Amino acid sequence: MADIAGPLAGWRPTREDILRARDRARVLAARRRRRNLFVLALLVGPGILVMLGENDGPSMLSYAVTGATYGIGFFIPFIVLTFVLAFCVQEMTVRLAAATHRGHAQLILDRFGPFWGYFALADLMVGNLLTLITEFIAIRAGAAYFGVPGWLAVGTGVMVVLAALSLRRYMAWERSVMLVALANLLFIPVAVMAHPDWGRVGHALLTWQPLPGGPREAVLTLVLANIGATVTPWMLFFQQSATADKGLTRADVTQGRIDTALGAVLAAAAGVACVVASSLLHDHHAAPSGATGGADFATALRPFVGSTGAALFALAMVEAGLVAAVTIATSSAYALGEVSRRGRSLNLDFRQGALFYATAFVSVVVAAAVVLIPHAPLIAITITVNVIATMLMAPALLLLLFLVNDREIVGQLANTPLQNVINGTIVVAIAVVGAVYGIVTVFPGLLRL
Amino acid sequence: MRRNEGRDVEVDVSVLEPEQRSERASLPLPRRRLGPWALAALWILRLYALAAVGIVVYFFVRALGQP
Repeated sequence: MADIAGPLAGWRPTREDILRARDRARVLAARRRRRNLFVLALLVGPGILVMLGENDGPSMLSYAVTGATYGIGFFIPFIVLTFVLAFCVQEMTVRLAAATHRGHAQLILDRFGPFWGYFALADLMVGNLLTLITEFIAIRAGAAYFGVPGWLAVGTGVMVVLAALSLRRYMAWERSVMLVALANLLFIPVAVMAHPDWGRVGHALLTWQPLPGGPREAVLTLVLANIGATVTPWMLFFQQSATADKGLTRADVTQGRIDTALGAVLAAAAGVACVVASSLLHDHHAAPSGATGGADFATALRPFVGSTGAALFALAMVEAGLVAAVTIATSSAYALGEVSRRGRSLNLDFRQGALFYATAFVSVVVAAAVVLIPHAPLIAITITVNVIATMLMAPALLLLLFLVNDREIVGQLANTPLQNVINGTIVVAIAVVGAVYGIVTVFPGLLRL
Repeated sequence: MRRNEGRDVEVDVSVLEPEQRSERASLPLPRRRLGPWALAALWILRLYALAAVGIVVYFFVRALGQP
């Protein structure tokens, strides 16, 4: 790259700088012309991706089990509530990124020292690897509905993730992954095909009734699991890093908030649609016994929603795992790049971003390989994912709260007293509930005391 | 971008805020000075984190042993 003259003398812009500057130039030009919708269209992305990524394979399977077990009722508004909470938490990462232009891992390391920096990194990397394994399990299970062999489904999943990363351009990566992520909304036409009683859905949304029946322990555990997993560590790291990589500034915080809210609305709609569609199985007493994957639910739903509806359901399950695999692998790459102070941008080429791309590549390939290993302990991994995500969420959330109150780095974008009351309550509630869920999962006898 | 690289660079990169430049964003920020309450909270959090890691490892090992 050439040296440049003028006020920027002495600075040698990298490919990352130039590509980011091009994106910023388009935003600034659109803003000058007061094309507000176009500005928004240019700036949305990380929020939509993080929320639709949170609707991952295991989450959608959990929604399907919830619908098939409890039907339409309490869990419909409950899902909406969890995304409202997720919005409140994730919005803080937008402000942090816009104010500091740094990722979450880097801020933790710089401001709180090596213990928290490396702990957060290790927690994220291990949790992400285990979660990636569950995403490939979901991809394999969803693809099984179409008769696709496991090795082919997992291999195709790996190729899609690697293809997205090989674009070496943030905006191209973001737009292509968003396109795939919107397939999460395929649950909505399936719900429509199920011809539910929309009056019951509306009644449930407004009244939280009927309350779930069955064993109280199971219901309580499900509620704790859902609140505890409202936000997972990768979501914090991913959205902050992606927002910084995209180049949002203090002037773009409103659009960043709209992006996050839009993502929450879309993800909540997909989650509710999944519950509504699978509630047919509850109403017809046709819940698949011992269901372990999307294909089981798609097969069970076929008599009620037809072969097209069932195929869409299975396809959406595959998409859920695929998009989460991309975003989770990218969050690992961002975090390791930030802590090691090597390249950490999707605008890097392979040489400059060798560690960045290698992290994502290796984590995806290892996760896919584990899924294909005969007799691999996949059940142990799947149940450990929830425990690690919920129990180790407390440090991540509380450090987030410390950072967003750090006026030296965020200035005017720091939490106001009201935001501290609201976000502080939410953060503490999620952290405590997550810890309680983790402990009662590890020591189930405690719930019976 | 390859031809007239320097001129394109000047036009493009001037829109970046100084802190957005990759070399500046990589620089470490100073360590935060914490008050006694924040320090105490972080120490409690540190103990919790270490205990939580132990519980997670125990759970995983136990889950591995189950059929």
